[in-house]
Amino acid sequence: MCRVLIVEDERNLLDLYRMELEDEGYKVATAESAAIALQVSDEFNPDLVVLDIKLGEEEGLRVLSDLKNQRRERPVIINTAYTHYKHDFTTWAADAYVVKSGDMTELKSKIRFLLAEKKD
Amino acid sequence: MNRQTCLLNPQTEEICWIDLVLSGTPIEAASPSRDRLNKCISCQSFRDAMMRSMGRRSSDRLITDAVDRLLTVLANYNTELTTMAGDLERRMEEQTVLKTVAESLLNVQNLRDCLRVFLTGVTAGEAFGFNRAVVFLVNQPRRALEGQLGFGHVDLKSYSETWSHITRSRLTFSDMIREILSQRDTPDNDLTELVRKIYIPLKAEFGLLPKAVLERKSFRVSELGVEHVTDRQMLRIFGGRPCAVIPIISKEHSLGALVVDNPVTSNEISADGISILETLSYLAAAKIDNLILQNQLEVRIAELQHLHALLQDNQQYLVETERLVEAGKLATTIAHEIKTPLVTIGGYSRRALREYRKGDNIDHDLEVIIEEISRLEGIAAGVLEYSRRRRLNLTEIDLSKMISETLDILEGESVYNSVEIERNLADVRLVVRADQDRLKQVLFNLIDNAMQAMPDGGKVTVSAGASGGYVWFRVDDTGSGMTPETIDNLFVPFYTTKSVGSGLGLPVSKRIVADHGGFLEVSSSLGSGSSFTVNLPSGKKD
Repeated sequence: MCRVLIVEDERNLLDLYRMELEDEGYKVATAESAAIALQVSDEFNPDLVVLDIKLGEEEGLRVLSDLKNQRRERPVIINTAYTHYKHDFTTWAADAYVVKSGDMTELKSKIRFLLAEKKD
Repeated sequence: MNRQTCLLNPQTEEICWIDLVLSGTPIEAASPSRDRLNKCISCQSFRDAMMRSMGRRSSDRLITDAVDRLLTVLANYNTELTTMAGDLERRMEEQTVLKTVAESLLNVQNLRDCLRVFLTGVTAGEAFGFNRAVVFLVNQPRRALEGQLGFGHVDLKSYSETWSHITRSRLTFSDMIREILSQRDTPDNDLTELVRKIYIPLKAEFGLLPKAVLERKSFRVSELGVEHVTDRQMLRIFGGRPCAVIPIISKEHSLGALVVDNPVTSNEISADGISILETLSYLAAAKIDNLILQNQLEVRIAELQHLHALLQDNQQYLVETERLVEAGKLATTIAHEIKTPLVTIGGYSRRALREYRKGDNIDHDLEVIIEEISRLEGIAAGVLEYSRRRRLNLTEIDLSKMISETLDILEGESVYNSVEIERNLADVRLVVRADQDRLKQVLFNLIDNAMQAMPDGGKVTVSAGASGGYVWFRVDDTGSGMTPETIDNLFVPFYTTKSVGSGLGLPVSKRIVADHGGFLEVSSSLGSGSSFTVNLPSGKKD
């Protein structure tokens, strides 16, 4: 069973992601802020991380870099409300970029794709 | 019997007084006037009669000679005294005119009237009686003399009419000044019209006028010619006749020149005449100097007013632009702010639908949806509150009293039990014109903010005072302080570091303070707390 870590500070959204991804058959861990994400990741050792990054917040970008340093081959998906981060080179270290939506189809397919790619 | 007529005034056919007395008329009955007697002393008939009446003895003759000599001396004295009396009378007239000119100059408000009073003094018959006078003033930026005003006429023909009018009207000098000043919109005479076209560079080689101004010295010429003036119009007006040029100078400035001549009476321009014109010019110069300064000031004031109006327009434009930019920023911020609840609602709705179709319990999904919708409502309410331009209900309030009342209420509420609230209010009335409810809202926001910064308790100090035309109140806390990044974003709508709160408390407070014409100051140091000061223009009238 693949392990997914979700980093999201909106409590209701975090619960939704957890439930939806558990329904997809993943083992899910959650972190309510970027600050504790690294610690949870260290303990949980996820196969993939879904990371929320807020505008103007350096911590999210630093966590992205730390997560990558922890395990370079582990995919990280940036999941954010802001479309323009897509063009920010500091987020290029991520493996995918998903703009937050009530329809989670894109997020779920990106997770599926990256995990399948990893297995190959 | 034929009486001898007066030898000194034969044309009057007056009877000789001596002849009358010698023929036996009593002296009292003959009653000559004092003037007449003064004249008689110098008359040969009088002397002959004296000789005859004194007899022919040699002792008599000696006395007669002595009396004769005394009479001659007396007669000379008499003539001298008469001349002196005439001089004195003229001087007194001059003094009266100078006084009247000085008094009239005190009351004039503009340069034109000032010059009119000046030239009335120069030309009025009762005063110095010059037939024509023309004033030139220095245009400093152009370094030139410019013709301003002329009294008199270009052609001699025009004089008879003017003079007969003046004679008929029998005006005193002060009446004449009053009448001239009352004529507001009289058209310029031909001399003024011509003189206004004259422009002479302020360099000595351009003749007597610039020379008089530059050397601050008067000139008199017996016949004005091309060697004296280079300007053709000046030659046309004054050429070929005696004339005088007097500089108009104040203590500090050379202001212009006065040109006079007597084409009608052909009276000689004496050294005395020049001297009195210099006095008159000096009198006028002080006022002209003053009025020129006043004119310059008025021009500057007009310029400043114009600039002020421009600045106001620009400021209005900037305010409008700033509001548009702010509105744009706010729209972006709102869009982001509502995005998270919308995503959450969308996600839970889809999940609820799926679960509902499977027959699962969807209570939790619906609870979250309702919670997020409430959040959206809160955001909408906050935006409306922030954007609303409410009219201020301004009244004169005492800030200390308003703060005390607000704190009394807050201290009664259990929420504030975890902190100590200290008051540090000045013991004087701090008067300010403000909307009391709005200011209370600001104070409440600041205290609430301070509370949020001290989740583990601490002390909030509320102080108030007055300085530099402002009254102020300050809220200090002993919380953790703020990072520079947080301070930079304090007044950005929806920027919040708190788990609760709209993110609009401080932006709204800042706006309320600005609406009152005041400003909000923030200072903070990490680890030792923050301080918010509201400064409002003092309502006290000094």
